Parts: sequence; structure tokens; C-alpha cells
Amino acid sequence: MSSRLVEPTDKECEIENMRYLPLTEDEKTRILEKCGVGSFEELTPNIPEELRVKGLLNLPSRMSEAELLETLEKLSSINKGAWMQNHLGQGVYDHTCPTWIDQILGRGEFLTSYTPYQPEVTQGTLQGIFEFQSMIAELFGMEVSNASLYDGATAVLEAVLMAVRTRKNNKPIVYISEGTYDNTRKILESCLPDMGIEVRTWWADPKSLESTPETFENDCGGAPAAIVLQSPNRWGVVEDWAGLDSVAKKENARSVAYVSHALSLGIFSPPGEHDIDIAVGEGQALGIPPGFGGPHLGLFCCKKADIRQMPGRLVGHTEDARGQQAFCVTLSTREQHIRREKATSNICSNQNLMALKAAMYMTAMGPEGLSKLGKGLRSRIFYLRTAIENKFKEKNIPHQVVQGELFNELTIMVGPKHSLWVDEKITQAQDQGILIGLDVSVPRSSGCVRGLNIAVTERHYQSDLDKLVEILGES
Amino acid sequence: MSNWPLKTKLSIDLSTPGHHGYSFPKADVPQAPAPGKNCRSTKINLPELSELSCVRHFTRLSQQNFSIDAGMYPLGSCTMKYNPRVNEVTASHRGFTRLHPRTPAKYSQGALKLMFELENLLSEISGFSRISLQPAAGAQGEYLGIKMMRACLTDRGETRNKIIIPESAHGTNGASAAMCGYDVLPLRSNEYGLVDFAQLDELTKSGDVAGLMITNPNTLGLFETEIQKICKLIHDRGGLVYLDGANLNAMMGITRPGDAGVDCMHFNMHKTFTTPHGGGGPGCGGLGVSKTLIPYLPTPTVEKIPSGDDEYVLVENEEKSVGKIKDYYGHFLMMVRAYTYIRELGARGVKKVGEDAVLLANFIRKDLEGHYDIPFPKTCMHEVVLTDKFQVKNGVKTLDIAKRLIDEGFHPPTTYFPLIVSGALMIEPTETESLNMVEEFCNTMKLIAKEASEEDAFEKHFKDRPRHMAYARVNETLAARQLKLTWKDLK
Repeated sequence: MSSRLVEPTDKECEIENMRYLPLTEDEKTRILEKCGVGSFEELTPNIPEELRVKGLLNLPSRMSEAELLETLEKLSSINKGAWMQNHLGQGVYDHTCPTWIDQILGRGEFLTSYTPYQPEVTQGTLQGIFEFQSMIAELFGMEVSNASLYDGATAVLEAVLMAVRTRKNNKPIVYISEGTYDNTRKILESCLPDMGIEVRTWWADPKSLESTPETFENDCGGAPAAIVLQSPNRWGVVEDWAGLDSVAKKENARSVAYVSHALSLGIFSPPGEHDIDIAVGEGQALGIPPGFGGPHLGLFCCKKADIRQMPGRLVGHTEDARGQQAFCVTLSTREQHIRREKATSNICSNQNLMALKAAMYMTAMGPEGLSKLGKGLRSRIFYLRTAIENKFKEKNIPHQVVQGELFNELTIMVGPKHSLWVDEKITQAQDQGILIGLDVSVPRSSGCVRGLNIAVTERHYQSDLDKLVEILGES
Repeated sequence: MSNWPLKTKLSIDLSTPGHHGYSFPKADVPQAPAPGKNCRSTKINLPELSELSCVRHFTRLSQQNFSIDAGMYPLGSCTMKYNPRVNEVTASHRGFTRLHPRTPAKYSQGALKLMFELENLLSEISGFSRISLQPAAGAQGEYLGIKMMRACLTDRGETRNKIIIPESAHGTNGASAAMCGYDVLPLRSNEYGLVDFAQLDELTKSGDVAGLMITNPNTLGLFETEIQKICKLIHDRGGLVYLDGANLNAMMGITRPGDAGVDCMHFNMHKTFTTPHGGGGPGCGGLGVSKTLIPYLPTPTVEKIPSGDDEYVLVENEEKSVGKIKDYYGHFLMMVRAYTYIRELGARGVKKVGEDAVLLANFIRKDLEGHYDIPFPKTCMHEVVLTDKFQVKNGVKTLDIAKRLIDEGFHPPTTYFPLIVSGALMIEPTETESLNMVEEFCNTMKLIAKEASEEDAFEKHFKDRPRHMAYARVNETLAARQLKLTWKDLK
């Protein structure tokens, strides 16, 4: 451990009441008297003397509100990245969100309400979640959605666990597409072996960068329990759920669709159009800011037939004693607070505020908004791809831009002779105040060694994209 | 909460084709040709609402919620304290919200510094050597703790397959242990509501016990006096000790779990450090670990460059790390709130939190003595457990008391938990409530006890509660039977 933050300046033990801590000294004395003791120590005889903190902890002095605001604003402003032209992606995007949403979401009735176990006094949260479940199920084309999980990556983990539970006679093996994000793969590799589940790779075609039925080589000698395909994949290529469905059916495995960008479903075919068993996704793009990694929003859908094996909270429609439409948490018997170690998951929260935010976002967008936004993103990335290709041709630059269908991200693939090019471009762009993209690994079989992944959002205009092309074309 | 007659329709039923509530920059590039394959063929049935209609719909929904801002939540083990508004302001700065998690360190120093300092603050408060902020919520902190214990034991060449969990524990404990591949051995409480040391001794003799998950103060609101002895026994038998930190609030500034010999403990930022409960999430976890477990911390960790001037980096790949359990670094914007709160309090404030929480719970314990059965009446920390033993004789059960409270403007306490107490009502006032408010709550509880003692009590006072809210008793059985989970199911 490094040294302490700030040396404490006020060591004196007198305790004054504060704005969040209204109990006065007189009241404290009154309570002690009522309990028939003379001191706090006497009131808590169970705490062994040697474990009591002597005096005060070594913490920095307390701050007034003005000092807090000043300090935190300063810390925030050092994060220059939040003001740069930003093309970082890989599952987190700096999309826009209508301002009314933060203001309404910030109402104390949403912000400071408890988990809706008492439905008579939490119909706001419950109906909001019911609407969220309805809209996510619509977006994914699936029968049911839960009330959300931590994030897309851990939703994949929960999906695999559910697949294994529902395919007990299969091998505890999961195949994940090569185009799955590094972080998601790391989480699966960290967590699944504890449960005796092996992680294997469904390789991508070196040319198209898609995982297809042709690239699936099963050698596990018996059906794997689950097969996971991410789309758009980490190179930005939109994959084909029909291929996942056919591979999974052939292997008698559960198919798991991992939608890395929720907005992509505004224009591309959703998992539900391909008889996918479990569809999960990252919902951060639905109005939630990057927030240096969280909180984001894990989406989880499945077929109704499997609902008793689904992890996470569910809200159902019902009525109250006066016959009014009402909602409540339902099928709790799957959950940890009832089933303990036999529960479908240990998760006891949902990303409730984020789910509500996504519900507000989708309500504001409507089907037309999602479609227009999606088409606009795709048009930007197609424009960028063409402009980069033209520039490379003009300047005789040998790198390849990924082909195939794209949504809002692309990857420039770099051969072994130019392995430093990615770093050079990232640095050159930074000098102009631009975060141009992220270094991603690429399939070795492609003959390339590295990739530069570039994302666009609706914040980017043609002139911004032209700047990127200029930087990429510089020698 | 509003009682007005304007019922809240579903948003889809408010829809008018052509309306919308968005305003995003339109693309100024040529439109790309439509995709040849993979085109969406089904319509997305979403509502179409103008901005005012959106605002009104969600404002009305909010008015159907009880909240801390509106009233007291005496919810045991949930620590429903006030969520300071200043936290919401600091967490909404652009430098935090619009920062991509993969921004190079030189452009994200403020965020890294905040995480580093928060780790130090939590370390000082809890007595643990290091903190991982990666867990998304308390339950994931539990999972991470058990996972790290498992990695440590594996590293020692051990293959132990059982975890001991007291019967009074939170349900997540067992579920988290199971996710790490462990079998659960239940441990009973003794006559004082504490860990039964003799049974613990018996259970750990076999050599296949990886460790103990203990809650302190436990879910009866009692401090485990023998915590050091318990830790020593487990360590002597080759196991490790996990502490459920759900009740850390009661210990803040008073005693540090890390000093008692515990190997790891999760934090619930939404309980102890005032990040908003949000109607069920997002949470924010955190895990404190002893020196023994440091090598197994998940990656990346935030480190200060030793020679640098106040410079911070993310360090990946530690050889023995358990890897990753959550995307990126955890719920960063929740960390900003927790950090703001601790900086507001300082050392004196932190101590006052713990003391006041305990004082107010003890006030309730003494004030309700004689009115309700208190199974462990001698002392308590931040929460007190009552039962319906006196009332049930007259046909009034815990659930009836809970629903009766709603009509008096209080959220019900935690009910029927811990499971080892029949008809439990678990009450935790938290330190942010004034004594006046706590007295008002106690008076209401006494009024209810009086009502419950009357002849025909159930019919007269408890039937059909709540009676004065916009919604009467909600039919949960019907919901489970019909399973209508989306608006498509209502058609």
C-alpha cells in the first residue's frame, strides 16, 4: 500500500452533529439513559476492547459542500479524454441522450426507492420495468426479457450457466466466437472453470472475419452445451444469427446470441427472427453514458419455455384487490433470497436505474428513431470505410479495412511489416485532440498481426471523419 | 406518493404514430445502401410519444413509488439511509460520465486518482490491505471473495470443497459459494443468536472445509464477540474467512473487520456509502482483502507510479490473479458518489455514522420492549429483530403489521428474515433519521400493537391493508399463474 492520502488535521474526538447526521449530544445522552448505560462502549458490550478503534481513523478532514464541488470538479476536469473527439468503441460508445431523461430519472422517487418487494408502494418502478422488459423483448424479437443484469459481458456468463443447466446431458463445454470481446472472453475464462465448464473458440473466417457454420469445428466428442456468437463482433462486422442457429441445432447445443450494441437491432435482424434460445446484450448505447466503464446495462432474453431457468428479476402483470392493473416481482422462487445455493444466479440487484433509463430512451426514440439513428450510424461507417480505402489506394498504403456488413465500427488490419503503424496513428491523432480508436488483436490466419478499431456515433460529422482519413493517410 | 385518480396507462397505450421525443444530430454523409442480408424484417412495437408525453408518463410513474426522499424505510439489513444530492452532482460531471473506460491513462488521471484514493479510504475504514472495486454489486463482491479464497487454497495445493454458512446468512452467500463450485454446510446459531462455536469446531475437523462465510454484525443485529477466536479456528484448520459486509454501517469508525483476522469482506456502496438504491440497482460492490489474498486480486488494479508526481496507471496481468469478473473496473460513477460521501464525512463523521446508527436501533429496541417480542433483547448493533409472537395469538401476523405500516406512511421493515426467527420483523433506522422521526415510527408500531390486541383485530384494523394508497393489495399469486411479462402477452 502506498502512503495515506492527506494527513488528518483534526484529531480531536469531539463529535458534532452534521447535515446528514442529525442526532445531537443531548439526544445521545437520552438514548443511553433509556438503555440504562452510561456510554456507547457500555451499550455495545459484544465488541471486544482490543478490536475497538482508539480515537479516530486516519482519514482526510471533512469537506464543506463547496469544497467537495470544487475538488470533484477538478478531478473530473483532469480527464481530458472526456472532451476529445472520441472514436473508442469495443462495446462502450459515447452516444447522445435527451436531457429530459436524466432530469426525470433523477427524481427522488426513482433514485431513492427500494427494490419493489412491496408492490403497493412501488408501482412506478414495477411498471417501468414491465415496460423495459416489453421493449427489450420487442427489440430482440424474443418472448421474454428479465429486469436486467450487470452488463453485457456478465450476461453472457449467466447465459452460458443457464445453457449448461438446461443441457445437462451435453458436455459442459461452451464455444464462443473468435469475434467476442477480449473482456468478455476473460470473464468467461475466469469464471466458468470453477463450475467445471470449458471454454473453446469458434474460429472466424480469416477473410470475412465472420464465424460461420463452415468455420465451426466440433471436436469435443459429444454435444457442447452452449454456442455463443457476438454481433457486431469485435472487428465491427455484423454476424449472421442464422448460422448460429444452424450450428447449435446440429450440435444439439443452446444457441446464445450476444448483441454487443443494442442499437444495431434497430436495423439488423434480431436473434428472435432466427429461433435463438438465449439472447443477451449490452444496453449501454440506450442512453447510458460511458462513465469510465459503468454502471452499464446487461440485457437478457430467452424463450418462455425456459423461464424457470432464467437468472435475474422478473416483473409480471397482475391486478390489485380493487381490480386495477398492477405489477409485481414474480417467479422469485428462482432467486437467491428464496432458493439460496440452489438459485439460478447469485445476483440480487438489477441495474434498475439504468433499465429505467433505457426504457425512457426507447420511449423517446420509438421505432422510427431507432431505425433512423441506426441508418445514420451505418452510413457514417460506410462513408468512413470508403474514404479510408480510397486514401490507402491513393497513398499506396497496404493495410486492409474489414469487408462485409458493418454497423458503427470498423477495423483496419495491419500486416507484420507494419506492426508499429497502429501505435503511430493513435499517437498522431492524440496530438490533434482525437482518440482515434483501439488496438485490437486479429486472427493470425488472416496474415495480419494487429488491428486499429474505430467507432463512430451520431456526434460525428463528415468533417470529423475526414480528419481521421487525413491522419490515417499520413506517412 | 400521489393518490390522484389519474391511473398510469402503459406507454404503448399512449402512442400516436409519428410522435417522437428524440433530437439527435442527423448524418451529413451520403446514405449507405440498405443491407443486402441481415435486414430487420419484423416491426419493433415501441411507443411513439412527444417529449412532454414522455416526461408526463415517467413523472406519473415516479409518483407511484415510495422513496427515502418521501419517508422512512426501517428496512433491516438494507441500510436505507439518505442519498445526498451533492453525490448526484459530482457524479454527473462530464469528465466522469463521458470518459470511455479505455481512454489512455494520461487522459484519465482524475478517474484513476479517484479510484486509487477511494481504495485507500475504504482500506482505512475496513482495516483491509487492499480493495478491489471491480464487483458490480454486493453479491458479486461475495462471489469474488470466495473465488479468491479458492484460488489461494488451490495455490496451496488444497482441494477443499465445502463452505460453512450460518443459517442466519443472506441468501446470496450460498448462491455465491455455489457459483464457485462449493457445497454449502449450514451452521446453526446458539441460544444467544451467535455462531455456535462447538458446531463450527465439529464441522471443520474433516479437513474439507475451504472456509466460513460469516456476517458481522449478524442478521440478528448482534456483534459476533468471538470473531477473533472464530477466525483463528478456521485458519488453524487450513481454511479462510469471508465476512459479509452488508452490515458494515454499524462498525464504521468503531471497529474494523480487517483487524479481527478476517481474510476478505465485500462492501455495499449503496448501503454504507450512500449510492442510491435506485429501486433495486445498480449496486456497487468492492472487496477488501487481507495480505494473504493480495496476489489473487482481479485485474486490472489501479496503482500509483512510485517515482511519479501524483501519476496513476492501470496494471493488468498479475501472475496469480483470478482474472476478471466484470467488464472494465466496476461501477465507476457509483464510486464517485461513495468518494464524495466519505470526503464529506471525514474521520469524525465516519465514527458518528456508526455510533448514531447503533444508538437509534437501540432506542427502538428499548422503546418497543413489551409491545413486541424481542427474541434477543439484551443488546443490538444497527438493527433489531422483533417477532409477531404476541400479535399472532390474536390472528395478526408479520405481513399484516407490514402492510398496516404502509397506511401510516412508513415502508414496512424487512419481514420473515432472518429465516431462523419465526415471523421476524427486522428494523434498521439508519443514522440519517432524526430521533423525532424514529420516535414517530415507534409510536406507530405501538399503535399497531394496541390495535392487534383488540377484539376482532384483524377484521377491524388489518384486513385489506393498505387501504389509503392508490393501490390496494397486489395479487402476486395471479402474476405467477398467468405470467404476463411483456405487453405482447396482454394482447
